[in-house]
Amino acid sequence: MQTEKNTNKRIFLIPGKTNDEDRQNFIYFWVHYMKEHSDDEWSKQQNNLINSVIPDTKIKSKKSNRKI
Amino acid sequence: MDYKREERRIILNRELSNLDDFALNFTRIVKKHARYVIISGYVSILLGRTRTTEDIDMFIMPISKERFNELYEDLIENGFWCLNSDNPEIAFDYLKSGLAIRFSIENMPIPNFEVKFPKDSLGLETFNDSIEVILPKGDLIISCLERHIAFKRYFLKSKKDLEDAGHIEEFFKEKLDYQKINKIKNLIESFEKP
Repeated sequence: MQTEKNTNKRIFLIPGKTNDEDRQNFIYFWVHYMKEHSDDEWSKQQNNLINSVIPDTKIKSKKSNRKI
Repeated sequence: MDYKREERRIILNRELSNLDDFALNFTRIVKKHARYVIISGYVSILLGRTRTTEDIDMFIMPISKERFNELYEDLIENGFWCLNSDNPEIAFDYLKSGLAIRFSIENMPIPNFEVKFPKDSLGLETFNDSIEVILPKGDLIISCLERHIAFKRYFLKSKKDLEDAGHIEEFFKEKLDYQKINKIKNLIESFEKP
């Protein structure tokens, strides 16, 4: 286990000795965070990242001129 | 997130991202014409991995040229375009040759769907044990988690792929079939041998 629990269930991210280890530790940390929070909560945070890169692609159908 | 392994179903009450909206809009059209399975990086992202991607990989079950033409026209009529050709026959030839073709919203190349026919029995097996992900505004079909981990870890193997596999393994570790991962690993290695 690459994380350290305290008494309030909060876990702390242990700094990795290498970049790879640090990234791996963050994956454990984030998965723990996901399990402790609702889908709606963690996905809102994930979407801050995704939606900052990927544009909104909602489109209008050429045929019906309605949003699909 | 609730993974019902026996039912091969995940209930995911997430806020949809722009990528999820794109995936749902594209697959709503594709599934009218062909069986599909979403594979690789987007599977990890959909299930919470903290990264994004400009493309979503998808297998479609091989279909006839006529059926592909119908799929192609339906996509065009709904505002998508093919990045590889505006001629469905050429696009189909690419697919038949084992190449992937990409579709995006017209004049918006990012994000895009990378669509391909499976090349071998390992790829075809992806359709046999796929998982349905139920989202608040629709559903998506993804490859099974054990297959996803095995391909990321033992076939693709890049740092990004290993991290994608690590995320899924850590989240679902109590529900994974590790014998199945090992079996797929062995199959991948047997396919790679000359």
